[in-house]
Amino acid sequence: MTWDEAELRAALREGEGERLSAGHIVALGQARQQRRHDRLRNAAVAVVVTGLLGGGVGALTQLNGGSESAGSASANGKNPAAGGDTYAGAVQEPAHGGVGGSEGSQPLAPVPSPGQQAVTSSTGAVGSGLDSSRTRCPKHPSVVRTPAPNASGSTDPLFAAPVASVTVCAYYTKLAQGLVAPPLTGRRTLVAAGARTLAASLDAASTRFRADLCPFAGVRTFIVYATSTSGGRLSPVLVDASDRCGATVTNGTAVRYAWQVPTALEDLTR
Amino acid sequence: MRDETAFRAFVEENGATLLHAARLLTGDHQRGEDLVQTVLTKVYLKWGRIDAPLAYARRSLVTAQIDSSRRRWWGERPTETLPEHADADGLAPSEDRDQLRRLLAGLNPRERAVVVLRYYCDLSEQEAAATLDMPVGTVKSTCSRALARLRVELTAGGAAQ
Repeated sequence: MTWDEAELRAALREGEGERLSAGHIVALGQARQQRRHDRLRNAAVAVVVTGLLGGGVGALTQLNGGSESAGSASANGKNPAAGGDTYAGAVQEPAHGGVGGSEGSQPLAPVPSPGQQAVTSSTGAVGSGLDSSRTRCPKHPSVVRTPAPNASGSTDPLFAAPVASVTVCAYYTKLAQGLVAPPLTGRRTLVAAGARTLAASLDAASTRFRADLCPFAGVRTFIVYATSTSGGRLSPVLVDASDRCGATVTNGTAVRYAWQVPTALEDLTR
Repeated sequence: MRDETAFRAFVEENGATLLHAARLLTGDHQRGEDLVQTVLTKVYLKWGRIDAPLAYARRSLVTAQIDSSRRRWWGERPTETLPEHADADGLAPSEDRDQLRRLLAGLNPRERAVVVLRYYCDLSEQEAAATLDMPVGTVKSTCSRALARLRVELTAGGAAQ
């Protein structure tokens, strides 16, 4: 059997003529387009929800970090009652490598303080190891409870080792609303003698609880991040200076009362 | 905005030809319908953004068929006999037509595409080359090889009968 191209064409054309339903194709196209739109919409919704959840979790973590700290202190046999809620970074390790607020190892000017040694300045170099000047201040302090005045460990030293450098993060808001987290208003780093002097001043404050009522001075909080001479990071110390009778200082275990905030630190909250 | 009326007219005018081409390309009645349906849906979604819908549809047809034949689960092997399939018009196929269809299905997808485009769609070698995105020389050689195979197979089949 032989054939030519014309026969091939004719053979290929046999059986053609069955028509297609355009309506069916259009319906399929519309359904496919709808599925595509649905997928895009779902993807967009997923992105938005993920973003909102991420932001919410971040905010909750920031707000609840202090509560976890209080729970930790309680688990260690410390009584967290008596002092009330305080904004603190006392057991929250800050991030490092960044900066916030005013910069560098700028020393504080000496400030006389009744019954306490003033914070002094120094530009001495910090030894090897971690440097507090690289500490980044959180945007807001966490909320923790100050331990009871007679709780176990409340008279222990605020700093567990000799201090080489400190970074003070300052927070302030004049609002007197419940759990309003004050924003970061300033930052100051002290090294060598300046850091040692500030640490000693904090530690030397009274261990006796005072019950007198004092005028409210706004939510004024400092967090002191200290580095030891061996380069280790020490537990952060909270300074609550929300009233005018002197600040309450705590590291979550030890507590001091009526500490007079040096003017140079107060200036960070203005 | 998609011009649905124009698309419907396009399907009315070219749907039958595309469907038959798809059946020739796939060698299977149902798969041909699936293929043309997929391609025309694609054309519908791009309607208004393509300059030459018929050329686009033809190209999509052969590309989809060649691609699908590369997939393992659609992999084609030459067989002694073709599987039974329903006839397009419900009529008993003529002996020659049946034999030619069997031989066409025995070609590889690219050869089959060239034969269908050249001898069913009546495209020139240049148009077939553009549709298949291959050089004109390759279309010529592929077509020549495919026809030679068809002749040999048909002669051998005729001699056997």
